[in-house]
Amino acid sequence: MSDNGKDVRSPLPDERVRWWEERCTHFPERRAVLLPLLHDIQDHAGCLDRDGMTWAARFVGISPVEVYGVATFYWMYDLEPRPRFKLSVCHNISCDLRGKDAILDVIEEELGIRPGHHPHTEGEFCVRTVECMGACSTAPMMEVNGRYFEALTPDKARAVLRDLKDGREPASTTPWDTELRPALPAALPTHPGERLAWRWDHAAEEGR
Amino acid sequence: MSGKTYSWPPRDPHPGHETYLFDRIALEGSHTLQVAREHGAWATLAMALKEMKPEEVTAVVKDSGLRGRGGAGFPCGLKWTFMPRFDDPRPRFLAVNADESEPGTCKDRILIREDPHLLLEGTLLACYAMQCRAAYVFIRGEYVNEALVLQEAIGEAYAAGLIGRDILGSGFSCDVHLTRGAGAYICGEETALMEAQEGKRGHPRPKPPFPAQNGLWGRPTTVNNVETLCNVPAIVGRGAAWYRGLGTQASAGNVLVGISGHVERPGVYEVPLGMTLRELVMGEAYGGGIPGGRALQAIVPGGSSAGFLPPEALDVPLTHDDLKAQGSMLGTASIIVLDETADLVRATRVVTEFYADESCGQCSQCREGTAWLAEILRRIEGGEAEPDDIPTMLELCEQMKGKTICVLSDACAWPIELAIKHFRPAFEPGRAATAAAGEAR
Repeated sequence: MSDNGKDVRSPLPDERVRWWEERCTHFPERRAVLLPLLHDIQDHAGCLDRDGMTWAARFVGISPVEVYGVATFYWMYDLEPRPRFKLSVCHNISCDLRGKDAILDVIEEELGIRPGHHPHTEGEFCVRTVECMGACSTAPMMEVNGRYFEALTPDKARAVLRDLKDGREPASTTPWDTELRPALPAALPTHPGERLAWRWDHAAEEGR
Repeated sequence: MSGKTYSWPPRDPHPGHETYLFDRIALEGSHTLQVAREHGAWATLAMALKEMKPEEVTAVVKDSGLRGRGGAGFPCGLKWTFMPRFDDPRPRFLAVNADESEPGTCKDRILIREDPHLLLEGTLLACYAMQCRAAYVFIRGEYVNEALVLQEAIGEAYAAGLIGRDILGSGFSCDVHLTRGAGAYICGEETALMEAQEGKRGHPRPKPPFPAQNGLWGRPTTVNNVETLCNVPAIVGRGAAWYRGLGTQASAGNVLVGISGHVERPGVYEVPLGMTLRELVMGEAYGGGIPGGRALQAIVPGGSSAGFLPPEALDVPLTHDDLKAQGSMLGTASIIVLDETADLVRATRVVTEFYADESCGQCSQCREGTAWLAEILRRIEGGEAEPDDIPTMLELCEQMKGKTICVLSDACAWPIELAIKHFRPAFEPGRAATAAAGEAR
């Protein structure tokens, strides 16, 4: 744990810190990178702890408490460590009509846990219900570590959970491939480099 | 990034009407620059940069009658003219709203995943028309895969000289930057989106000042939805008259209609505005009717905020004005179908809990009202309705409308008012308790 005055070690590799430095020049204010930067810290460190938030605050030039205010506003940030698999099941109207309860039943049978609106942990799994994820026409759905499993039936959900438990990569439950490529957190988009039209010099009033 | 993704359900190649939004999505590799360009992408931008002045691009979009597809239905070209004159020296921006989160809505996700270059071309045309220095795309945090696809498309477009400095040798320069959010419905509201883009909590800003005067980082900004921008290449390429020939007079063009809930073929379909809800829900080419021959109970025409309409609404055409006349709205054109087995009180409770969960908490009417309504509905669902519940809810709804910084509060009230108007007996005392009412929150 660290306080405002102490030095905080970077939660990110040097190469990534340089990448974020360059990213900052795309915006009039450094703070603009905060939301994706917090994702990146969480993906690397496993969660967004006080050190991670303090480092992010230093990096973008605001106080740690402001970062805390942001981190607690959005549901996707975890302020404490979570197990290996984070499951989210949509409980909004389209998924509710198409049988999300049956999916929750399967999760309870397979993992021994009845997910509610707050994350519950059991072994390697953390499960919760969430609001609309934008998969309404392929309801019901479940998301695991950023990957969507849609058009679920109890059997399909059971197969996904058993694959995860046995250490296998689950197959997609839809006709399209949902595997994340490249896998997070390795996804570092390339720089636009010299094709970039404008860079903001934060020391000056306008970009150059 | 690879692996062909497929539309859902597989797209009918001969829908019987003209299309321009989903033309490429079924192609192998549609998300790549090469395939998209082989099938027409970026040609309109090249033409416009060479042959049209920025004002002419705006004029075509204005004449086309295109209305925003993000929910409010504001005329797009008119919005663009709100930006300051070109002699205003401040840098100006386009904010692309890819924070699709209205329950029932999953159209922008398909556009981004399957045809990111359509979105980018529309984005650049808009930036050229308004002479924006940069477009900032804000995508909802849950769309991880879509963000990866779009980021790769942006990289390809930069490398090909389609984004960035001196685009296609025209002298026009413009950047496109992508930011992934972290999960909050309110960030789809345009001023909350700007706050989130700036790295803050998604708290809507009071208006005025409007974004065109004081938007991202205090600079002139226009906020456009993904589907709206995807309309722009076809409009600029084929002309305003062609576009007005699609849809109806006051609601021109095609729209992506998402159909979910109790239908045989849930999916996202590109149709001209003005089709009736009956054609979309029952038609063989679209929803395909209700499974098991069950009866229709209620229909939501435009995302959860549009509220619940009775079966008689099936013959209403899908246009801005016709749905407004029903006390509802076109919204995001996302149809949710509830058959006779659905519990309408539960459905109302589910969407109300959603608004209670997503209220940003700034305004007391919204923060307290949404939670109070959800509590009453949970009690009614549990079979403990009291005689004054309905008057209390209607009074609460009245107090929540038009009194807050943004319309999330109104959007919570509308579906409850419509549900009580059309399905009042369901909310009255005497209802049996249902098992799910105690679902853990």
